[in-house]
Amino acid sequence: MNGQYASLLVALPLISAFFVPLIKGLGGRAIKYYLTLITALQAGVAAWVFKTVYTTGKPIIVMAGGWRPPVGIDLYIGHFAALFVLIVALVSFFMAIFSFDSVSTEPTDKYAMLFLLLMLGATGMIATGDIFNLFVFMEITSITAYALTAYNKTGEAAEAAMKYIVLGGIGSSFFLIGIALIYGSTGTLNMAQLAQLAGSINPTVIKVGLSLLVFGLAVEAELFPLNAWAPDAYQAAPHPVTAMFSAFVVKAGLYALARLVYLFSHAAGWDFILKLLVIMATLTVFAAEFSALRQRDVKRMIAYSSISQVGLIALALSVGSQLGVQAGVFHMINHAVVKTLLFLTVGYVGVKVGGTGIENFSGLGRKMPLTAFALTVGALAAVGIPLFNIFWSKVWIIIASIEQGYAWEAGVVLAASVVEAVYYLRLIHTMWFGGWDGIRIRESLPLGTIALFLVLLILAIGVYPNPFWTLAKSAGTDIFNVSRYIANVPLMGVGP
Amino acid sequence: MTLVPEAYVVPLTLFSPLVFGVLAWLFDRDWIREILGVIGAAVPVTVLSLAYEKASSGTISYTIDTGVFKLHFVLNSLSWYFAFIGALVGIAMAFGLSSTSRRGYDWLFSLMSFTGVMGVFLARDFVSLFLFWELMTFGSFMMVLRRNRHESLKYFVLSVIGAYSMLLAIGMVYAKTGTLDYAMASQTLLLLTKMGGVSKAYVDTIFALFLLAFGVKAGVVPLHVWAPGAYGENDQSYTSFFSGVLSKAGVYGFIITLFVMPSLYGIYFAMGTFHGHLTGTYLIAWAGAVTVVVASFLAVLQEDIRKLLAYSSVGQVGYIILALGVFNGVAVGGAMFHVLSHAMFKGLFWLISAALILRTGKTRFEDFGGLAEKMPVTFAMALIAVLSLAGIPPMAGFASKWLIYEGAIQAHMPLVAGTIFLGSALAFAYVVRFLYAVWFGQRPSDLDDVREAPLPLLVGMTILAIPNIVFGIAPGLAVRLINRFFNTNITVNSYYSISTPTGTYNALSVTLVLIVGLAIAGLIYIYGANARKIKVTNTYQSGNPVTEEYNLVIRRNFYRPLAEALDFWLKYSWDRFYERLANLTEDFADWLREGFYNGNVQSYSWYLAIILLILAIWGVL
Amino acid sequence: MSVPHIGLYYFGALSLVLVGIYGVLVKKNLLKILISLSIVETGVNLLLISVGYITGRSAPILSEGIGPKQAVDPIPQALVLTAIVIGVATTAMALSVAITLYEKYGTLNIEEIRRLRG
Repeated sequence: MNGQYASLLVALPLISAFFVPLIKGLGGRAIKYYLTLITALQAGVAAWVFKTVYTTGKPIIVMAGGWRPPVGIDLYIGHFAALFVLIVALVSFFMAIFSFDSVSTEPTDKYAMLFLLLMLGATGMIATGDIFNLFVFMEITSITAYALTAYNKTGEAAEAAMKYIVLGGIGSSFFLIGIALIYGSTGTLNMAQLAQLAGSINPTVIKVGLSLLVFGLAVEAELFPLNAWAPDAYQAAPHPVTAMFSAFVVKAGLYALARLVYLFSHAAGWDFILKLLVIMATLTVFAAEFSALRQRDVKRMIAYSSISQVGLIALALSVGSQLGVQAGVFHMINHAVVKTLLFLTVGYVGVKVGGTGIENFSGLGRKMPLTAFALTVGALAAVGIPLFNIFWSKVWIIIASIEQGYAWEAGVVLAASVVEAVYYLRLIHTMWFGGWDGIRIRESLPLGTIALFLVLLILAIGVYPNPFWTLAKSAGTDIFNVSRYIANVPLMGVGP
Repeated sequence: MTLVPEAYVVPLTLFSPLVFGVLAWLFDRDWIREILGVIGAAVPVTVLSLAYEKASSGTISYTIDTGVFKLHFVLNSLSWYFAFIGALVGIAMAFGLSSTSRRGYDWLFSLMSFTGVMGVFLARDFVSLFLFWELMTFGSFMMVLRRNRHESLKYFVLSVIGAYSMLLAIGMVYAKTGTLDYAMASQTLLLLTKMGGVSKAYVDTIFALFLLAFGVKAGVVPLHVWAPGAYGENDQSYTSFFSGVLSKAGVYGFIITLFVMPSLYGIYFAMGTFHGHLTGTYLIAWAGAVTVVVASFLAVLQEDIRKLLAYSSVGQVGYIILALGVFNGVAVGGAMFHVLSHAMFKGLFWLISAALILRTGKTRFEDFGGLAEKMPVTFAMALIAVLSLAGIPPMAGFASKWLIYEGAIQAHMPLVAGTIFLGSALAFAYVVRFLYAVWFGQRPSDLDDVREAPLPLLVGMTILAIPNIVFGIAPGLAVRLINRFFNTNITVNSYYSISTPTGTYNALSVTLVLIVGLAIAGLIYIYGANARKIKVTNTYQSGNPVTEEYNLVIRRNFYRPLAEALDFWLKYSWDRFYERLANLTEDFADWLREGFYNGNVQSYSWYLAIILLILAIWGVL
Repeated sequence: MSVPHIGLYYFGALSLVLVGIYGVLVKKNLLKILISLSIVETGVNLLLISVGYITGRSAPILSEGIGPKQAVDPIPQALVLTAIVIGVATTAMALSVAITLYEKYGTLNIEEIRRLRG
């Protein structure tokens, strides 16, 4: 099959989103079935792309309109993108199923459209090979994310969306300024060509340009102190959307951040950017963990935990070594699995019990045993207990950062992790040993299956991390090894 | 050896408890669960006994390749020694659990920590060490969590701090050496230190982090605060393992840092000397000494059996740490011996406490009394445990303490030796109370229908009681074993007699003298003494008037004068210090949360502006 | 028609951005903040346009007498078109959120819209 079919990854959700109003006539449930179907199809395409990329070992370059880059805009589906596009599609699929139970606010057709566009935006951000295209996909992601945050139509939802819009708006404006500066001095927007030219750009321009790009993306990637919108948005958004935010929207931002930073690794002032990112990442972990400590709302608590894990990923990506990037990618995979599970189960409790306050989790072990079990596994994994998946990536991140001379940062991160252990422990204790009101709630079969699948995945990676570590290694190399990235893109007048 | 092929020895030892624990948890039915659990705990001890020949003369290696890391395990004489002690207490615990616990949950997590401990003892690289360390901690933590959230939290936080220090230290080792194998890492580190590739502060930090990690588990003061709660608020059968073996994992960690990694060993010399002692080890010796004194005093003052045993356990492990810090052959040999005897007598103690709680449901001294005739076998076991702990020949506890004492004297550490003495005296003070208040004297009327401990529990006790006597009468057995992996400078004259450069202990003759003496005393008592039988109700007032507010019977506030004398010191409590620290942390967390995420989007915009400003300043300059 | 020096455009664009940022940082009314955001976007768009500007050339519309040699760089103009569309979408989204906020909170003062915090 021709690799150009990979453009379906972007095309399919986009076209399907436009068909949603037609389906609307068939009723609200039909829309959700449609959503499930499309996400399943997308997962199929993504699986095919994944298989192709990993069996041939070559990235798929989709050239829009047949134009070779840098004239045409290209999609670069390398090892990282192939892997993450698959994760995006799978998580979306799960969350589409979860939407049956958890999203009842009308208009569900708008929800389905936004859902598909959010998936499209994240996929595009990961796959694109053009910096302005990246901006466009980022904006698609953000605007749908704003809308989905406000979707519940409560005051809190609107408030969270408002904060997100203001901060996201500032971030993207400066991102665009960064693009303008870089375009002004290089005359190209293609990422591969930018990487080639990175060393020869005027130092001042590249410093300002790169730092603005990083600034804009750091807002999306939830780095301290630019992440103040995140807990609110996570808390107020519908449960499936929160899971998507945590599982891949923020990952797309992180990926873009890492990709751009490493593309410009020959640029002047690069070390400073890395140092700044390391500091921001460390502070992200620290501040988020401490903010979660006394949290009474479990969803918000897990949101903070997610932010702290994101900080850990950012730390790994910005220590500036191949091992670090690989560990970061591994952590991205693990974090996507764990946080999907956590937000799924917490959201499900929110739907069934009527809220995500800690009091609703009391006695959950007997009220909803399966959900409580899955939540416990997720919590233990998040803490980083051995034989759960996050342990391995955490170990590698610590090792990578110490190797690069960031021993203090590693120490701070670990100290903050102690706090994480405490609040997850409280949750576990409340669930299993808290008072039970005697009600037993029937748990849904599909969601139970998804939760169990994720639990098994967590344990499988935890017990035998090798296959996933191999995946993470090649995906990480894809980000880190810029010269191979350049060589893979058939630039006009450069390539074959 | 032919019974169990060599390749299976390590995996069977490591994983059978965990596997059977999971099975017991799955088939959560009476009897099935218990039988599965006991089988799971019995496999390691059987396999290890069968592998003794091979392990003591050579090594058995085993490697698991996870792809990411290779996990490497070795059974040699050192790890066999520790693992066998662990397995022995483990099987006793399993018998105890059969009586005291009726829950699959308990079996799962207690056997999980069993596997963890075995892994820690057999590991030969840092990743396996850390993995199994965490498994062990996790299992024991879940046991506490079920019973008391506050105590489990304390235990958990300290354990996690320890675990992360270890992780950081491992990371630091790996970052410089690129290997995780003990021996390789150690050699490379040593080489790097010599060539200046690693700064002294770096190695010191590694060293300190390791000691912090292991110190938490061993319960070294001031990291001991978790121990009383975690040991006490637990299934007491499990505590026999928890206190008897898990604390030894901490000790084992000290041994790794001190002896298995010669590069860290090299640090001692780099750290210089203090009054003729190596500063590094001297510090450890004093950490142990402080632990002995503080914990023993606290043990004396407890009114609850479990608390008393817990503090006593902390104190006894302090002896081992102290002896390691004394750092000469005899003391280290004594430390190894004490590992054995402490595991045996403290395991026995906790099983006795399990039996008492199971049969009476009480834990405080004031509620006990006169149980010797109701539970005669348990009482006999208690007598053995008490004698061994108090260090009275011919029990194992005497031999080991004697060696440590000799070692400290030889190393010219009179003050440290003094703390050993003080600790022994205090130990005597608290076990006497245990002996008298529980077993003798007037029996409260509600204990009249107490029955003997159930059979499985008695079996467990017997398993632990026998070594106390055997190694007490034949200390040469143990020392011979220890001499295989340490050059202890202790000569084994025969099974019954051991000599250090300064003295000889012939257990057999001491025993014989003791028996003869007891026989004479018995004869005198039976035939000669002018004994008068009185009712147990008026035995213990010693003629003093009793008032309610100052009622110092042995069962209640017996050592209150001591507490009053120590009033000044008791005002300072590590426990309260940590509580205050925890509160401060929580307040800080709230302050950060409320201050930073204050809900006002304008403040959030300011954060963005500040970062922009930083970037702009940097970009222009 | 003589065109002032290109630096002037940059200056103007950056001033707009700064004015907008000032508004976001200081104004308490949500609508004013949103307007300030739009001003920032306008400034950015202007900057993009001026980046592609080449002195003395005309708009890149293929028509009589204007070939590739006579036109300014067309890419920034395409970019700006996209950016304007995105800006409109964001603003529309923001305004609809503002309506909801006013309904639920009865105010547009952002210091009072802070139920989600901590």
